Amino acid sequence: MAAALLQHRRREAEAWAGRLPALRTQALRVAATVAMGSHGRRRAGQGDSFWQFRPYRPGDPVRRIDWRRSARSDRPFLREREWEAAESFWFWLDRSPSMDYHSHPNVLTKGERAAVLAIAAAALLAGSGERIGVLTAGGPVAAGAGKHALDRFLVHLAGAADEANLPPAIGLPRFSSVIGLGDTFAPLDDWDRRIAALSAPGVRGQLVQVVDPGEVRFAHRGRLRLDGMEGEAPELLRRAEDLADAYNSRFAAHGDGLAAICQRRGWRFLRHATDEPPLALLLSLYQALSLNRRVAHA
Amino acid sequence: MLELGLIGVAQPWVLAALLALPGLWWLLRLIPPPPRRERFPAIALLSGLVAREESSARMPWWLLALRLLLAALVIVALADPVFAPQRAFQGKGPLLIVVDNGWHGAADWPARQRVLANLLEEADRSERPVAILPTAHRVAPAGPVSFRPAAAWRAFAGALAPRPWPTDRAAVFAAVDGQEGPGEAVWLSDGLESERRAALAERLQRLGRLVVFQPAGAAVLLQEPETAATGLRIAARRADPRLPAGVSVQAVAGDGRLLANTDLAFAAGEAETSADWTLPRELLNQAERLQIAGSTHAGGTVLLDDRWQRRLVGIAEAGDERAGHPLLDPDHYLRSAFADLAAFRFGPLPALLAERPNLLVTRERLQPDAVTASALDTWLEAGGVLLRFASAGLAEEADDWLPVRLRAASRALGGALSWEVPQRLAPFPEASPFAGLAVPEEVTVSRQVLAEPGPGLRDKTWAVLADGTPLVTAEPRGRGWAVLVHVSAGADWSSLPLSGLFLQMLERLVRLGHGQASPEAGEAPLPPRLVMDGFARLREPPPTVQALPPRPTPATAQLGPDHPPGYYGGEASRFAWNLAPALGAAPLAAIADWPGGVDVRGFQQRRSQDLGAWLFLAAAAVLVLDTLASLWLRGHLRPRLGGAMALAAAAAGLALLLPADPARASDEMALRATLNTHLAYVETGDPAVDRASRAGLAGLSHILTARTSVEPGTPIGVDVETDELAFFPLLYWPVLPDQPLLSNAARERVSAFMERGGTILFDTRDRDAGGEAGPGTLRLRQLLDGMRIPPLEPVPGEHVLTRSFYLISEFPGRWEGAPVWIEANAAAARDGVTSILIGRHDWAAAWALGPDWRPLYPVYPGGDRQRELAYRFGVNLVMHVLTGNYKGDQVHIPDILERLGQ
Repeated sequence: MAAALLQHRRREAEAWAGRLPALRTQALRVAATVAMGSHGRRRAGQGDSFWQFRPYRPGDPVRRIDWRRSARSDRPFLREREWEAAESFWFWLDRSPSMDYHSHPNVLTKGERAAVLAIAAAALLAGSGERIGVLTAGGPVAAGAGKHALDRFLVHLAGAADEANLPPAIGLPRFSSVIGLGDTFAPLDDWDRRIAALSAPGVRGQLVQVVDPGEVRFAHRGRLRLDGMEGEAPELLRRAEDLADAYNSRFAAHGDGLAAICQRRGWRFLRHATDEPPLALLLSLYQALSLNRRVAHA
Repeated sequence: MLELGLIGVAQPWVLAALLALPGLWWLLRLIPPPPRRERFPAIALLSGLVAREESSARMPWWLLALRLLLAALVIVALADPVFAPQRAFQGKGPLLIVVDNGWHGAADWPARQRVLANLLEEADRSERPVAILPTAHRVAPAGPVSFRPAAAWRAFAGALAPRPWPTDRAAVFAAVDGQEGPGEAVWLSDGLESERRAALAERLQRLGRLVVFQPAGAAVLLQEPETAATGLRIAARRADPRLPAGVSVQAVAGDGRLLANTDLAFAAGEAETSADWTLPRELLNQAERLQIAGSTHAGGTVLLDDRWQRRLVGIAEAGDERAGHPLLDPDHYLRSAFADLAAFRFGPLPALLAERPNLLVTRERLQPDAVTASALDTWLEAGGVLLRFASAGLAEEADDWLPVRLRAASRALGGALSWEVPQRLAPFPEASPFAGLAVPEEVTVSRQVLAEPGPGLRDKTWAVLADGTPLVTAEPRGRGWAVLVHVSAGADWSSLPLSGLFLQMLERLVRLGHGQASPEAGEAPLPPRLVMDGFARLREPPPTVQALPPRPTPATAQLGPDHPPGYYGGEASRFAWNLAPALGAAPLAAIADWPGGVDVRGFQQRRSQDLGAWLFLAAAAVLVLDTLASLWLRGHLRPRLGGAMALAAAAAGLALLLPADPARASDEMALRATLNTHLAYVETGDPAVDRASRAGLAGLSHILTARTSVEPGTPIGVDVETDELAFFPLLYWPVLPDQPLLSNAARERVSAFMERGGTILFDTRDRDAGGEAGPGTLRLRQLLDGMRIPPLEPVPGEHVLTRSFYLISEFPGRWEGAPVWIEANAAAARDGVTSILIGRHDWAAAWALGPDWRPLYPVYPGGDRQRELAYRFGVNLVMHVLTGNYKGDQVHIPDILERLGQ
């Protein structure tokens, strides 16, 4: 997608993100158990939370001596902080040609809606201090954390333009999460293998299925020829309405299958149709990310 | 070329492609129409669902029919169809064209010329030598026929015109006699039989092939009419005993005006018909020609001259004791003689003269009074003929209107006591108008009056008896004649009235009226004046036309190139030489049949038209329909919602264009009038007065706004007849002297307005006329007549109007000095507000302020002070009207008392 479109979507996404009041950084930092952003790694390191007091060893910088603790005893002590590292959220956006579809000019294409959702979620996460990045075919590209993370994220997102149907099967560092947005029409076996590959190092994720309402409920009528958008063989239907029920059940089965796969791997499966408001999905995503935190901590 | 009735097909072999249409049908049935195409990303989910027995869908039958029609139209268009095709002439040898351009050839001459032009073009294209032989020629063709290239004949063919004389096929036969083939002959015939026609056809056929073009219409010849008692007796002949069933005959004046027409019907199977046509004398005398409506040829036109003019003969009444007896009554013979000749009237002489007859017949002495005598002289000078018959006693008293002096006594011949026998007539002198008439044996004269012999008697004699005594003498009087027949009009003096000679003599005399001698009676040849061309149009005679011999008849002069039909003769007396007598009594016959082997065709009246272009156009339209149908089947033509909304918007917009009904207009007026206080003035129709009223009330409104709390809106003009008055508290009414009176409804409305609280200020605007009522006041009285007007009084000094805002004592306007009348004892129900004020000071002009608030009109004689007082009066009036009598209380009483001098 063009960078300008991304910028436009970014503004729209940030507007959505600003509507979620509870995700402001200050409020979150208060509640440690649901705090996102700084995750204690239970070891000494850079961070904000107190970890332990350690006796002074020769060679340590003098300014790190905690005088208050040292005054209580007769030896100098250093304050150590917990190693807090942000979790990385890797976004994967389905850029295959099938995402360029909308059944009615009044709804967005699936690709546009997925981009809006991705940028909104990325804005939320970046605003909360998490590290965000883009999952491309060439590997994960980090956008960092902080206030410019979203800009870098957009740049990387614009640059990653491969047309795979599935997220790339590459190794991810620990404590990563994947958020994939696509129309997930690849066969279930492929999805199973790919999610298994991605989950191997303990990575969790959310899979968001973004579909068009015309794909949810088959609404074509009459004699027509359906062309696939990724080079599939066309289908000639004599009476399209005869296939509606079969298609609908197949679609539902596909969705259920994906949900089962995600369940097995510890991922979450969210469904979104482009005629629904994106806020609904953002709420679900937020819920899912919060739960993900709890699961990770436990 | 294949011909099917009116349609011909130039390339018939292309039509063989139509045989392939069933194959096309079979092919199209096999090919299904392309389906609608849609994109569907989730197509992977459909795999395996689609059943394999999807047979190709059938093309809808109407699409199939449309495509077959398209194919058929294209095939037929390619075959080059032609509407009303011209049949081509294929031939090799020289082409001989015989053109019948006789009098009937003019009937369809354009078609003839067109065929001739086509023939010449064909011959030019195939380079065949051509010869053209017209059958009605000026100069008979001599010698063998000369063939020349077609291009050389073009000028001749263009100049070829029909002739008003009959065809001469014998001469053409003689010219063609020696010709041998091979060749082709074309005969553009006129359908009429004549001598040598069959022989000519046979001779032409010997050349090779003979093609005859025959007209479809039938020939009708109009005969020369005869004079009848009430008009004319017209006759016509037709060539075909079946067609036409009737013709319409028109009488046309010299300048082309149609004077009268009548229908002449043919009995079934009859070739001739005649009918009487009643024409008024005036119309008949103006008619120059009779023609068959719609005919363009010389046979359908008959020129008229004086022979058919209806003369008026006046017969002066004479008291005669034998009037009751038919055979003894001399008038009887005159009446029956003139019955067929002219219209005649009996009457006293002055009445007859008033009708300007051609011939005036008297049997008695003429003793008119002075007026009649001068009228008679005038009439004679103008060309009337006075015919006098002798009577007993005519000789005793001579009057001025006898051509000769009469001897006192009459002569009796053959009486009982006489040796002599009644005289017979001698042949008429050459110079007399009766010259040429045959003298019957049985006419005898037994009694006559005698003329005094004298030197000029012979010149005046028009008829003599056997012994030389004159029977009819005449003297010219100006352009007219005074003629005396020396016998009486009855059968007692002679047997002349009993004979046919009487009729002929009277006829000559009738024609003599207006100074015209019958031209054919003269001796001089008749030079041509105007001749008719083939299309029955009169034009100047070409130099080849010869003069007719004197007394021309079809026997003595032949109608032909030397003597075409037309007018011949002198300036005033012209002789009409017509075609119909020249054709004689021979029946008009249509050509019944042609020798075998002759190709007979009709003249094409329709131009051949190429139909290919139209068929291609139709095919294009079908193609467009087919494309639209295919698009619709594929789903590209789904109606959009936006389109429906656009249609609804257009319908709504159209509804808005409808004119607002008047109820809404009056609602707007009511709204405008009631949302604010407005002063109103009555529109008088005079724009200057209305302008002044409006400016005056606008000025008053401005003053009110500036000085008081009343802020009226712009003044509104009302029409008392139509507008509602109830909105306005004060109505200013300028009364013009010529103001139209009110209708009853308007009067009622004004009365109701005044009774229910409105106030009208009537301003008669006339300067003080010294105590008398001015014109405006008079008009006001008329206006108010019938309205319910309360009693009036001049404004009393303590009326609330004098103190409702300002303290004023006088009410000047543009002028001052006259009293202002107000309602006496204004009703308490209206709060003491007067409903009417009448004055004459022209207040509107005093109040009028221009756009820059400067006064518009001067005031007399007071100047600014008077104007200020006028303003104050206006303010007081408006305050009084709006507030009632609240100032009737005692607010100003102390000031008033002070001013009163206490």
